[in-house]
Order: sequence, then C-alpha cells, then structure tokens
Amino acid sequence: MGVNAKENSVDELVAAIAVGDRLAFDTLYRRLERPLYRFLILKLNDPHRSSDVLHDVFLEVWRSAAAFRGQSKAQTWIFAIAWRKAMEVHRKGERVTYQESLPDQIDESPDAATALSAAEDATAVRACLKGLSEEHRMVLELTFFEEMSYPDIGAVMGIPEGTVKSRVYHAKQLMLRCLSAKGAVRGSGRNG
Amino acid sequence: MGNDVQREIEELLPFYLNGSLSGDEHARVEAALKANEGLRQQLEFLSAISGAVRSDDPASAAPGDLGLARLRRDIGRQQPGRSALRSVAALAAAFILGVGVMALWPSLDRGPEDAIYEQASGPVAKGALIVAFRPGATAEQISTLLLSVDGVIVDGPSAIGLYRVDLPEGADAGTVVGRLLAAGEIVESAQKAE
Repeated sequence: MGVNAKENSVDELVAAIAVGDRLAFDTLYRRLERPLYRFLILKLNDPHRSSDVLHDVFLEVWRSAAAFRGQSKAQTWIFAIAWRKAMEVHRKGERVTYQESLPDQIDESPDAATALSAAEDATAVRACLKGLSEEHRMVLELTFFEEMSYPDIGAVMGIPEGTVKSRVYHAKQLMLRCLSAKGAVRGSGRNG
Repeated sequence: MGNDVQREIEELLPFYLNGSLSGDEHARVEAALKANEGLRQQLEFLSAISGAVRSDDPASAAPGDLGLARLRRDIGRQQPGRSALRSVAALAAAFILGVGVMALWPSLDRGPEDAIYEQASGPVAKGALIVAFRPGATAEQISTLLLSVDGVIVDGPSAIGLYRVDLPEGADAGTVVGRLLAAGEIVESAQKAE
C-alpha cells in the first residue's frame, strides 16, 4: 500500500509498515508521537525516560507490525505496547519521582453544586487533576484526550472493562470532592 | 431510577461524552439524561474535567523531528518483523561471503558499470551507492560506518563483492561517497550508482 495521504487510518498505516513502508512509518510517528508521549509522561513523570520509551515503542511497532493480527484497533495495540513498556520501567524501579495522590476514601455526597461552580475555574480543575493518583489520571486521559471507549482502555491497560468504568467513576468522585472543597474555600473567603 | 441503574448510567456518562458508546448504551444514557437533572449536572461537570484534561499539554516537550531521525537511523538497521539480532547476523553473513568473493577480485580494472554491477541472480536492485569494503574490515566497522551516514545495504554482495547502499531521501550522495572513501581502512571503493 502506498501512503501519501494524511487521512490513512492507523490500521492502514500499520498494515503498510508491516510490508516495510517507511513513509507509512513516518506518517504514523507524526500522528501518534505526541499522544503517546503525553501518555508516557503522565505515567513516568520524566521527560527523558518518556522519550526513550517512546523510541522503543515505535521500534517495536516497526519490528512487530507484520505480526499484528488485528485483534484490536491498531491504535489500541500501540498504546498497549506503550503501557507495557512504561510498566517495565516501573518494575525496574526506574521511575524518578512520584506524584502525590488524593486520599482513596471517597466522599459519596460531595456538594455537587459547589463543585460545579468551582469547575468553572479551569485553574482549580487542573490543580485537582494533578492531585489524582496516576491510575485515575490515566483513565481520564484516555477517556477525554484520546477519546477511547472503555473496552479499548481495558485492552490498553490490561484490566477488565468494569474496572475501567468504576475507575473513571471514582476519578470523577475524587474531582467532585476536590473541587467541592475548593469551592467551599473560595465561598468562605468571599464571605469572610 | 434505582441506585444500581443510576450508578450504571453514571459510569457510562464519561463515554457518552466522548462519543464512544455503542448505539444501545448511547440511547439508554440519552433517555436517563432527559429524565434526571442530577445526571445532566454530572455531565456538565465531566465536560469541565474533559476541557481541563485537553488544555493541559505535557506533550510540548515531545522529541519531534529529532526523535523521528533517531528512529529512521535505527530502523535502517532492520526490516519490519525481524529482530535486530537477525539483521546483524544477516549483515555479518553477507560480509563474510563478500570477503570470500573479494579475495577473488581480479583487479580494479573497471569496465562499463552495467557489466560490473549486474547481479548474477537477475536485475539489479535499487541503491544510491555502490560500495566495496576492504577484505580486513569487520562487520562492526562496516555497520558503524554505514550508520554514521544513515546508509543501508539493500543488495549484495555481487559476484565481485560489491554492495548497493541506500541513503535517506534528500541525502547528498556525493558527500556520503566522500565520507566513505575517507574511511580508507574500511572502504575500498565507493561511488554513486547510475
């Protein structure tokens, strides 16, 4: 397959790479470099390590494209490679720093109205996002930035679909709790 | 709406928002949203989270073109579906065969290029350069040298020990020939293919 249009799907690009099409490889790199890097840096929190793993991911795509049998979308397959390689880095203890997590205890009845009001403040939302655990942040990232379905996220992260849904649900509850607290603080500040 | 159903719908809301639900699930969430103000508020809240996720861009430090150049260099050493080890082994095997043939090289009395470069097995392959390596050059030396110019052996050795080497698109073949010839302890001859 010749690759000369940016409209080629990731599946088509991988099929072309499988027969040695370097132009398809370049196109795939330009298509997925930033999403994959973004995904990796959220996991590893280290720009240099993320660049190295990104390199390894694309090399594996080049080497393994011919063996890809289409059991999933090609993009899901590639993100799963990235996830696996990032986990290998974790297992080797090479992760440099760790982000703090919000408490796992979830208030089931946060003040939704206060949280919704606080959510209008993008800075507050970003601050709460940064406070999430890596696992919660990753599922939100794949859901809202990559716009993946929950079965695809499950395939990438190697977890059941039900776990994906409940993890996103808990991430949302944690955000509600965080923003509710921020909203309450802002409200008391205005009143005082 | 029972608690279990409410929870089920709430779990689907993020995927309703990103447009990835199946038709049936989408219809169920849509119906629930029409009937429940609380769910509509949650959708609004999720939309704010989605916007924040999208506006944060840690990928600005991604390696970009430099990363692609590094990949091109590395994949030049292997074919898709082959491990690097197999590629190195193939290069070494080709080199050993080439050395054997080079020992029989009668002279460098060049005739017409077509006569020299024609493969015994059939039509000539593509390749920007025609290169002959010194009999004493090691596979490691050859590999390192070719890597330094982003060159890839695409065919050879020919019956008289010549290799065809491809270069990246846009590379200046004349400059590369100069760099190869400068490595006189490794390269016996190098020239642009016609």
